[in-house]
Amino acid sequence: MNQLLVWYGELTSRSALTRRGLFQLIVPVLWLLLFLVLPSMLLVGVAFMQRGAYGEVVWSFSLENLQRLLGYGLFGWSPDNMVILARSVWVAFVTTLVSVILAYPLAFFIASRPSRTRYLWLTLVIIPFWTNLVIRTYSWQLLLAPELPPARIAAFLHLVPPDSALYPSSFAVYIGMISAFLPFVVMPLYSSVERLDWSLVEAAHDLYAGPARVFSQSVLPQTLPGLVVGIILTFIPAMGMFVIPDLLGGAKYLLVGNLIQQQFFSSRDWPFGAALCIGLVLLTLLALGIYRRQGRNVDLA
Amino acid sequence: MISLAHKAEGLEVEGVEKRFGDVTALGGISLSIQAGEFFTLLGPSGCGKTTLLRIIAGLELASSGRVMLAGKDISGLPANQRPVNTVFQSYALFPHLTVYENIAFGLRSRRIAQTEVERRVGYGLGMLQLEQFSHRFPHQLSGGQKQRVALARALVNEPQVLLLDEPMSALDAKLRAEVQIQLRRLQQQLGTTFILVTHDQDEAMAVSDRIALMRQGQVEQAGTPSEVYERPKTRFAAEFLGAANLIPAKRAAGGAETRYGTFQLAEVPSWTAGHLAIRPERIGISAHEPAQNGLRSKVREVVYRGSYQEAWLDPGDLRIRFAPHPQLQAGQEIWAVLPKEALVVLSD
Repeated sequence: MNQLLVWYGELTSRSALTRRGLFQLIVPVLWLLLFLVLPSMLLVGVAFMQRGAYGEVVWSFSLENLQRLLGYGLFGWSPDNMVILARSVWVAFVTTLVSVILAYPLAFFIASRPSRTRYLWLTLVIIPFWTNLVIRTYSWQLLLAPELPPARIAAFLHLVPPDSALYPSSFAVYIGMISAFLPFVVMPLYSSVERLDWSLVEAAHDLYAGPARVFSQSVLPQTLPGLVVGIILTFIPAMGMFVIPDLLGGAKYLLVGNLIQQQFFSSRDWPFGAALCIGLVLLTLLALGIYRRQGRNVDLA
Repeated sequence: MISLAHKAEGLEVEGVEKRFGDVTALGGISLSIQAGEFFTLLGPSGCGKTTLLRIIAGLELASSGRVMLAGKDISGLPANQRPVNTVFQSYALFPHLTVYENIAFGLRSRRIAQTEVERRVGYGLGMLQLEQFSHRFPHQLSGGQKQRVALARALVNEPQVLLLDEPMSALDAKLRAEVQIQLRRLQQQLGTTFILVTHDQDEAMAVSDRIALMRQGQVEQAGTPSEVYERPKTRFAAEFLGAANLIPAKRAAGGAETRYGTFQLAEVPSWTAGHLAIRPERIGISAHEPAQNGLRSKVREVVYRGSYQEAWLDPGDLRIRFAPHPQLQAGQEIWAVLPKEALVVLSD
């Protein structure tokens, strides 16, 4: 059983390798247990508790939070939570879609620069990360203020009343979200575009394909790995985003992230916050499940 | 008139130039390729042969000049509107499509009816013995199989001209020799114009009706393989196609004067000085002094090559090749005979 074998130039045995593998697994497993599995289980547990009069968690079992999640409250059923959840999915979807549409030309543009300037362009894509998201979002408030050209132009085109800011609005939320997430799509997509085998593009073109067919049959299959990473890096955080809708969406444009944040801070209702978190996680998994079914041969991991 | 009509069916390259920045890749190339011809662009890397092929394919635009196909100017057409298909050097098979779908690609792009797609792909699979691989993906194929898929994928579109960009460079030597013969047979059977790009002179001679030898963006010499091989016009042509003995020479009465004596020539072109070229296998050996063009030599070195033997003679470092028997010995004194019809004058 305990055969000797050569493992990357080292003479060892099967059982020694197994032992070493298990030993090396301890740290990551502990890490995941401590910082992912345990907190998640706590969250699930808290979701079935009740809120005390002063915002403390009362340790008695209740399904009330899940009922509230589905819209059943003190005053009967209301669609508010469902609307917020659906809106979150929609905003995340649109953000991802627009980011992908913008990221393709950008990635091709950068990849086609001479190597000297290419890194400059990549740096420009990354520069926003040097600033905190909250600060960047506040700057959008400034940029969308009534005195500045974007708002002026919108007013001139009668899209908004004169002398009004472009925020809070769903438009401002999309602007903020897309600008925040675009680099997350551009970077992985760029790494795929950079390695693109152009002879496949030429072959498609040589075989009478028009632009749409060249894209779908030669560019898309080759950039799929980067695209999948970009979509996941955008969609999941966009589902839980609360800073941007909070600052640019105003009180009426809540996303599930805002709702959760409210429960844990201003409302001091941890059990309901936990229930909302579970709802968000389930919804994300559902969306990824649908996405995975759509792109059957795509490996999401 | 008949020859003119025939010419109109073929491909004309008229004064095609290509510049990349200050670099001139092609300096005004004109070629006339007849319909049904197997034409080869031969040359060392960087000579512009691939650039010319890409201009014909429409993957590159010429800086000036035009490409005419069957009498029509196709210079302005994008690649997807030219009745020309390419076999790429890397084959460029679509990795996410099966062999069948790869071959059907061009037909589907043109929205050809499903029954016709099936008929033509079936024909293509049969023609290149690919039936049993039709459901495989490219990564499950060997190099030779991939090459056949690339050929079938181009040919099912029934192009007027098939372009082949070094299609055999990825194959090992033995398979390459086999594929050359198959390619030649396929071309004769289909009657399609084939334009092959290669740097391999053996390959060029084995498959081509005509060869254009290219150098530094220019056509050095064009002609049938035997013309180019036996009557090279320049030193480059003589040395690129096979081995050649070059003897510095200048014009003399009735022939050429060299430091080894005067040689008689069959044809005396207008020249003053340059080289005499002779292929190693054209030099004869004799025990006695021949009537003309003999050179008293000493065998310096003999290499036995199985199907022939090769020897180097002094003076002149002449390389000779001849039948393996009887075997020559180093140090032997012989007469080398340089037949006048085998001597070619090179003016450079």
